[in-house]
Amino acid sequence: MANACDQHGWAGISQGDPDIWREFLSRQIPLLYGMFIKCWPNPSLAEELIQKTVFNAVKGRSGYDPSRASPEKWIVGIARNNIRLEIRKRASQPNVNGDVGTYISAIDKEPLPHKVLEQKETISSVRTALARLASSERSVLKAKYMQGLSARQISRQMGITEKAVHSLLYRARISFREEIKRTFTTNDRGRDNEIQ
Amino acid sequence: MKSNESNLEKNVSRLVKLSDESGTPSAGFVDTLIHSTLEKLKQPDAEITLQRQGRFIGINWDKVMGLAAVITLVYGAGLEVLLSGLIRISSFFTFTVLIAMIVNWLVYLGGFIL
Repeated sequence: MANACDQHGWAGISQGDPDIWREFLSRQIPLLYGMFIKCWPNPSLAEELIQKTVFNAVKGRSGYDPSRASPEKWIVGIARNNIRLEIRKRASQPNVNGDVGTYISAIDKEPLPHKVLEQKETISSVRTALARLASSERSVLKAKYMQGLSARQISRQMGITEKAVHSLLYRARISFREEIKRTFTTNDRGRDNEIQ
Repeated sequence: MKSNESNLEKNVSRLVKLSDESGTPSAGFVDTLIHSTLEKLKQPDAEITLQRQGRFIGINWDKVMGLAAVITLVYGAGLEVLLSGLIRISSFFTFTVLIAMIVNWLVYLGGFIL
């Protein structure tokens, strides 16, 4: 049973108290991330679902009743609902059926489906492609997309100008595209040789 | 061309993230999300509710007004075509058309009355 002090803090959630929300989110975001990653090994999907869950919580905060459940249970309930919606959405989407190479060849034409990103083949090809890049290109891609740093932060970290960061990022993306396409072409050839 | 670049950037971002084995979200993502959430919280409850209601009602009114405008335009255009045609043709034919219309209406209304 929650004590009065807890309930006072919980009331801050429904009232939209910024300090309580900041503290609440900094605790909950990593937990929600773990929850989504367990369902689908796809960090970008996990981020999308966290964002959706948090915004749903913000919208529905006035309906949150501190006497019924803790904010943690409440937000986990919203997250579970979003998982159910995602499962339903996926049921209507076509299966990838080992056709990852075709999707990768159209990398700059269409957004890759989540099902493609979750294939083991894709994950191993990404690692191979990253390993083949020049170290500066690999570092800038990881800083931008894995650590989520801004161009200014990267420029400070790498000791180059912001303009140089943008041009390095551009080149890195092109190199990565070529490398990942090459990885899939090599994989396909290897598979063809095995069949013959 | 620009959409190709944005697709590439989006896809590269999603692919590079796959190689992350930390099992935790990036600090940049957490900071950005907390910041945008706090911005949303600054909007008072009443404002959000009003916005929602306004949007809901607004969509209905938009539809109603749009439909009314379309009906008015179609009827206006039809009447314009009919009248311009009637002006050009002979008065006898105009008379015949008007009589036919009146008779049609009488038959229609008569059906209701009888």
